[in-house]
Amino acid sequence: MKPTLATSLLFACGFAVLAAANSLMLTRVEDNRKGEPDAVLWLTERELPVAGHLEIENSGMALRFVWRCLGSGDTEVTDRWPSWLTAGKLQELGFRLASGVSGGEPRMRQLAREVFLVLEYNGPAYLEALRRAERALEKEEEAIRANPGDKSLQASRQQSKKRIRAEELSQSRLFAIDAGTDPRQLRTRYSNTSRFIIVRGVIRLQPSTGGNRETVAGAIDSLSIDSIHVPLEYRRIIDAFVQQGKPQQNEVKTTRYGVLLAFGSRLEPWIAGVRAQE
Amino acid sequence: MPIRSKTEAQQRADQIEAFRGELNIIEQEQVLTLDPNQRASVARYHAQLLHRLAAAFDIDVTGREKQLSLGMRITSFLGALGLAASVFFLYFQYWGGLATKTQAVILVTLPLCGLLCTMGAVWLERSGYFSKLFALVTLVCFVLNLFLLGRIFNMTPTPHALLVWAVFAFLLAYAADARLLLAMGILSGAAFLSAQAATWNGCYWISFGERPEHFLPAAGLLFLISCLPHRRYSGFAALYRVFALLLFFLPVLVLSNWGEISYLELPRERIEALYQVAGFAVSGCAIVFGVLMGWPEVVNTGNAFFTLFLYTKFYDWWWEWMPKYQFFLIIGLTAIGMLLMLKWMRRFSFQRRGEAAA
Repeated sequence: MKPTLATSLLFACGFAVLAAANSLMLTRVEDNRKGEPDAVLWLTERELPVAGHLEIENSGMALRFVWRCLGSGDTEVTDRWPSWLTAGKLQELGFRLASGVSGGEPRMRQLAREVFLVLEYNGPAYLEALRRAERALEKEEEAIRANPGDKSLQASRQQSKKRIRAEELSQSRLFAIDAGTDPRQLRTRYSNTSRFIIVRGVIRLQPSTGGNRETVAGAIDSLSIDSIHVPLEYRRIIDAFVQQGKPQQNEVKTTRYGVLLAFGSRLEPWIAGVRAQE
Repeated sequence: MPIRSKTEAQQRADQIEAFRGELNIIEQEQVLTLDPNQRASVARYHAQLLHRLAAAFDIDVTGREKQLSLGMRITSFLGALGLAASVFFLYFQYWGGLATKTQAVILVTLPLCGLLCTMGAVWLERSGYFSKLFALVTLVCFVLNLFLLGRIFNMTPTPHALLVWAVFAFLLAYAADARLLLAMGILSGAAFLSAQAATWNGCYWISFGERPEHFLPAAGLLFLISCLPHRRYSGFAALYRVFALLLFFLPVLVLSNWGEISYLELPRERIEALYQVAGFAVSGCAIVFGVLMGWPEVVNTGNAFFTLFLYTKFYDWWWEWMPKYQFFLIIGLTAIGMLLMLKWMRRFSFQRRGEAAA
């Protein structure tokens, strides 16, 4: 094909697209990191473990967000079904519900929505999770007192003890405690920037059939940014901590490093420091 | 008539070859005999024309050249895929050992270098094999560029990346006359439009595939684009039409079987019936319209989907209660029926052409 003026113009546009796309992205990064961060807090390996190398031949390292929620049961801690995601809250987030939590016919199921989630670090929600683990143990012990010969109850008690130990030493202390559509309103309500993080997340309606009618409940599907890239300068430090303190088999995993995480004006995070965790 | 594209040049060369063959037969059967002067004049004109076309468009003048060209096209395509995959894996293999600034500089520079190579190839090589190869590698580098910059700086995923990739793929496709890149641009652009349609309905953009109706605006837009003149670019209009039909028929096929995922607030059965009727009507119209306009790709796509709609309906109605031999007999008889109908349409089209020629 003989190159023409049109071909030259197309290439010129190609260069312009490359330049514009890259400069827009880098400007967005700079905007996010400029000024006072929206939140700065130290998280630990419990909340940010190294993401498994899922992709073969990928030399990059990322830390994965691990977060939990308090469920509606009095001993329940879940990873998707928070008790505060009620019918009223779902409607506030923009879901249309026919009556209460009823979704009506299955075809009325609505698609997921991106909202803003509030994650609380090492606060009342975590203390409640600890209390729930202790309450679960108390229930097991009551059941054993009522049926002393039941071996399955003994095993359940062991599990409950392990759960308490895991809550104290290795489980994430990051809890999703609220959601909204306006991040500024959420920040006003949760103003402590070293305890509360506001992040984008996806909420979905999950249908379930009970009796003759189909009902739906809200579930947190995922965080929009669910892992954080580790730059080379921090990667070497994390690698060293991880190599030094490998846990033995059957040993409760302890925390080996802490990560100073900053969230910018666009609620996008970056690693601002790494230290050894005692 | 001015010749503007390689396709038109190749068609003219094929026409000349066919003319020479036909002239030989006619002369052997003594229907017409050119005198030596006329013969020399025609031969000279054809030789000059072929030389000019070969110089301008690098076309294949003989059958052997055509075979070699096909081999080169396949090799160029495989080479492009191999190089693109190699760039992708090479970066993933080593990026963890690079500082953030180095990573960003490499990511930004790679597509720039690719674009320079593509531009050089378009200017220096008329056949276009190398320009297509470099163009594909450049597009992969650009996808890697935005995707990994997003990951390095922990940015929120956005559908706008799909739009930027689509625009870049379109620019490369038109600059290098590459249909593969056009297909990539169409797919990326259709994904962006569908994601936008999902966002306008208040949904999270990544969920766009869960409601097939999100693809319908993209189908309409692609069909409109196919109506714009594409004479300089070989097969571009046909590719737009095929993707427009696929983006229409596939969602309709899904909705005609699973009405519950539609946006329409009607009972499920009515939604399915509505989409079944739409599927039959539009695929039928596509066959007729394709025959009238001389668009074989529209006829074939319409035909394939008409058959699919028909067979899924047969399956719904009869698979459970009919003996299998009867079911497959009906399938076979329907195929014969469709064959007869198409044969009649072919004859009709032939008659129209004859009348037009008269």
